Amino acid sequence: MGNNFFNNNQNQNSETERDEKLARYLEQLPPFSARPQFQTDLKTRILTQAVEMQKTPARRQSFFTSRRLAMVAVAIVLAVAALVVTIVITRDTPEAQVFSQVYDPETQSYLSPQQAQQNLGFSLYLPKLPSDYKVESAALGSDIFQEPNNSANPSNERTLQVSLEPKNGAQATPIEIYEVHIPQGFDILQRIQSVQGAQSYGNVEIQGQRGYFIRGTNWRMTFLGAMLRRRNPGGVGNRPTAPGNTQMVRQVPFGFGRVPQSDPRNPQFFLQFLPLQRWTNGATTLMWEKNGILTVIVTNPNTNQNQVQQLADSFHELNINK
Amino acid sequence: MFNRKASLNLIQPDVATPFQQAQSLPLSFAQLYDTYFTRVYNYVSYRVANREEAEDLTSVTFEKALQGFTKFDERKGSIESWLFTIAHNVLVNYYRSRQRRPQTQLDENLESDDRQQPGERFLRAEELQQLSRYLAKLSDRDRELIALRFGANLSHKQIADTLKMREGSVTTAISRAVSRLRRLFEAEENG
Repeated sequence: MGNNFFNNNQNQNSETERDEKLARYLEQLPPFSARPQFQTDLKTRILTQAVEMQKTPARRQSFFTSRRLAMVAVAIVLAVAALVVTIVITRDTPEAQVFSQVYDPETQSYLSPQQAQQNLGFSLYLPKLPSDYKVESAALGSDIFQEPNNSANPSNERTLQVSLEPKNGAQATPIEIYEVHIPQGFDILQRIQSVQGAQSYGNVEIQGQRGYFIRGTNWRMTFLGAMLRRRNPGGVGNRPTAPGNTQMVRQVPFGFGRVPQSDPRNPQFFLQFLPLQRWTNGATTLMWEKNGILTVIVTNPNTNQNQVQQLADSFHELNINK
Repeated sequence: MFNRKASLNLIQPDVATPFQQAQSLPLSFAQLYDTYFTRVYNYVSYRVANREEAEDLTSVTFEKALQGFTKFDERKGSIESWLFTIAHNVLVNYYRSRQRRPQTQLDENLESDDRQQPGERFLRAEELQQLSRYLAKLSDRDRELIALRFGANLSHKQIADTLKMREGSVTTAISRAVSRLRRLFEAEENG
C-alpha cells in the first residue's frame, strides 16, 4: 500500500467508500507464505500419525458403527457362501492346467504351477476364468515392498503377473492381474496418501476387504512410509522374451518410483498407471489386499463396476494337484 | 495464485458401498491439508507476528484437526467452520497461556510468494509487514475478525459459526474493525 493511499481520496470519498477500498485491498493481498519445507514436513508428520491412528484398535472400533457392522457381517456371509460355492464347483476342476506354465524371466525358463507357487511364496490366487477369456501369459516378476530402515537381506519373494485375453476379438482389451506379497502388518492400502489424475476413484468391498477402484489412465497414487522396488534390473518390466518363442511377457501398466526428496525416514513412493497403447481408450483398475497379497487388476473401461467386482470376488487360491 | 475460494472436493465414488464415506484416513486428511493449509497458515499469521509462532500454531491446529477428523459431522456445519474453529481455539489457548500480545513487528525472514518477481516480493513483503504492524494495534476482537475474514477468507456466516455469534452482529463488527484499521493506515499517512 503506497503513500497517500487514502489521502488522495480522503476528501472526495466518504468513510464508507474508503472502508470498502481497504476491504478490497485486503482481499487482494497475497497470503503469508509458509516455508515449503515446513509445509512438506508437517504434512508428512501428520499423515504418518494418521497411518498410525488407523492401526489402533480404538480407531477401528470407532470406524465401525453398528449399522456398518451389520452390513459387513452380511457381506462376509455372502462372501463365504460364494467361496464355498466356488470351492464346491471347482474342487475337481484341474485349474492348474489353465495356468500350465509360468514364465520366469530371470531364468528364462517355464515353471510348473507348483514351482511358480514355490517361487512366489504364496499360493496362486487367481480368478475364475471368464468364459470368454483365455490365458495369454503368466509370468513372475521381481518387485518387493520394503519398509524404510529395513536393511534385512532382500526377500526372495516374487510377484505374479497374468494376462487374460478375449477369445474372440482383437479389439478388446485384456484383463491384467498383478500380485505382490505384502509384509505382515504393512497395511499398504492404509498408507495411501493421495490419488491424483484419476477420472474417479473410491472404495469398494472385495471379499470382505476394503479395496479401491480407479478409473482412468493418468492416475498416480502416492503411498507413505514404504517403498516398492525392483529386486534386480532383469525384472518383468524389461519385457524379456522366451528364447525361441514368440510369447512376450506383458509389460505391467504400472510404473513406480520413489517420490523425489521425500523424507528417508518416511519415504513416499508412487504407483502410476502407464497409458500403454492397449489402454488408450481408458481403464478401470481395482486393487485390494487379502492374506498378505496385494492384487491389482486392470480391465476394459467399459466393464461396469459390478462386473469388475464379480471378477475380483471370484479370486481364490488355486487347487494345485501336488 | 492464491485460490481464495478453494473448497474441499470430496471424491464421489460411482457406486454406494459400505465403505463409501470411509476412505483411508490419511487420504482424506491429505485432501483437507492440501486444501486448507494456506488459509490456516495465513489466518494464524494475521494473529501472530512471528513466523515460528505461526508454524507452531499451524502445526497444532492440524494435529488437533486430525484427532477430531473422524468425528466431524457435516450436518452440524461446514468443514471450513469446523477447521477454523479449531484454529481459533488454538489461538485462544495460546494467548491465554502466554498472556501476552503479539510482537508489533514481523520476523525479518518474511516469506512471500516465490512465484513473484524479486522486486514485487519485496514490495509485497513490506505490505504484509505494514499490515501486521497495524493489526497488532487493534483489539483482540477486531484482529480476530479481520483475520477470519481476510486471512482465512471465511464468509460472515462461517465466522458467525466459528465465533458463536449472530451473522448480523458479525457483519457489523467486521465493518467497524475495518474502519478502525483504515484509520490506522490514514493516521500513518497523515503522520
